[in-house]
Amino acid sequence: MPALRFDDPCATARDEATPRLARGLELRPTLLGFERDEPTLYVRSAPPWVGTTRDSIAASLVMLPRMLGIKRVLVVSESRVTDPSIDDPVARDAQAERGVLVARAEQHGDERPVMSGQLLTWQRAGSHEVVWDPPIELDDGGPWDPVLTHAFSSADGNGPGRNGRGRSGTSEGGPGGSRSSRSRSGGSVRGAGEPGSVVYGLSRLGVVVAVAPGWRERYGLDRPVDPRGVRREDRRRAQAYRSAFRPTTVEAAS
Amino acid sequence: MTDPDRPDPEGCGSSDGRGSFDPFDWVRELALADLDAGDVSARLLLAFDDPATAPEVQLIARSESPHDGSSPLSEMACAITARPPRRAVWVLPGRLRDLEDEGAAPLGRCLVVTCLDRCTGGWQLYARTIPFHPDGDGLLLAAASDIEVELSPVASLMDDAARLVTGHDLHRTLAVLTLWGHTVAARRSMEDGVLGATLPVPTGSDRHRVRRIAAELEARHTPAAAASSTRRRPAVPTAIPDGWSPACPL
Repeated sequence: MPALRFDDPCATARDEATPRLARGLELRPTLLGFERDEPTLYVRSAPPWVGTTRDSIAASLVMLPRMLGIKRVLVVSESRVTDPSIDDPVARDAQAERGVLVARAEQHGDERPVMSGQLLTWQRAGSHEVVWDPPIELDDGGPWDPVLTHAFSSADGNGPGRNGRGRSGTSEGGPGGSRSSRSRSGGSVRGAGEPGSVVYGLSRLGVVVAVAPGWRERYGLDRPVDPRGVRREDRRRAQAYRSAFRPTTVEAAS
Repeated sequence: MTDPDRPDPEGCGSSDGRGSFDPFDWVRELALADLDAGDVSARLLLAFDDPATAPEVQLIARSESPHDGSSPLSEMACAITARPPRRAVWVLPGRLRDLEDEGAAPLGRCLVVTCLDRCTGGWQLYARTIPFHPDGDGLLLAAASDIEVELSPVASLMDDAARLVTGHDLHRTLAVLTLWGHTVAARRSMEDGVLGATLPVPTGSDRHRVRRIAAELEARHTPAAAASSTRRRPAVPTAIPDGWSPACPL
């Protein structure tokens, strides 16, 4: 897969979608998190037959960016594209086509996030080829607008970014140093648990989470999973993981 | 093995355009011979060394029994944990069911081909299904089609087994599997070199270790369970960006 780029959402969405669409599979909603321009986090929602709803998909996608304090995200998902100039709703539905929506959101400081969206339509050419049409610019993130606004807001209901949300990882700042080590009062988001435990829970629900090399430690994902939330069949492995990483964890050192 | 009734498997092409490797190349003759015989068994084909153009070890599952501690599929996965393969293809007989209506009768039968392909920094998994006529005669009903990898009963099992490198000796693992009724076949080149012509006699501790690994894989993935239990399986972290690693440690 070519490089994922925040400043070129169209190319990123095409690269993400093409292999799946060419094979006749659906594109599941996927979130990409960026630190400055470096892609660091990949979250793909659960397959539809495990009982996903719109709300659960949105929640599973934005939960980790909220926890980790990621300020730049792209969300790639499939969408139905209809022509508003057709009056008859039946005809409009009949002529709808499959498209790919990519929403881009970025937050500077405590302001409201800046959002934009692009809609990509495609045609099948040959058995394993996909041809993309020129992108259609949208004013905002479309249906992802409220979801991403929520993702960037603080937990106290005061809108985006009123509370300082320190990252719960062990190293603060990261390479960019864009985030100061502000207070760790993240409200209920902080109280949701360790990132590793949340990732474990998401994995049991079928949500795929991946991190870029080097970011597992910075996001605190290398810390042991909370044993209370681990299912019985995974307990032995959680215990082994815990003892394998004991000397390096913050908990053991303090 | 040419038959005008059968759809041309070449027409499906490589499933993701990654090189010229098509897992169906490995299984075409085996699966069609099985279909001709009217009895489809689960087969796991493994290739360890580059270039993995042909399978080196083949495992044929033992038949299921009501007294099994763990299913034959979980036991076969122990061969993957022993030495991570370069490529692995798992062929399973399956039933096609409606996802919306799980209580209904199966719609038909199919072969599920699940493939693990190791590449730089990780591996890719993909799954395809080939519907066939339930009355045998080796009649395929449709061309192979790609399916969501989570729909394969063994995708999460394969991924987990490839991640869980136990370091238990491959020959001894295969010997234990033979003891339990699985059939192990190796290519002749393997007999000269890597895999001995005769497998060692497994000791009690070999059996115990493999039994424990199989039991854990069984509890985590329940590969032979009913379709409704797919909701209990962990996520399959495949098709993630190159070089990235899954975030879930377990």
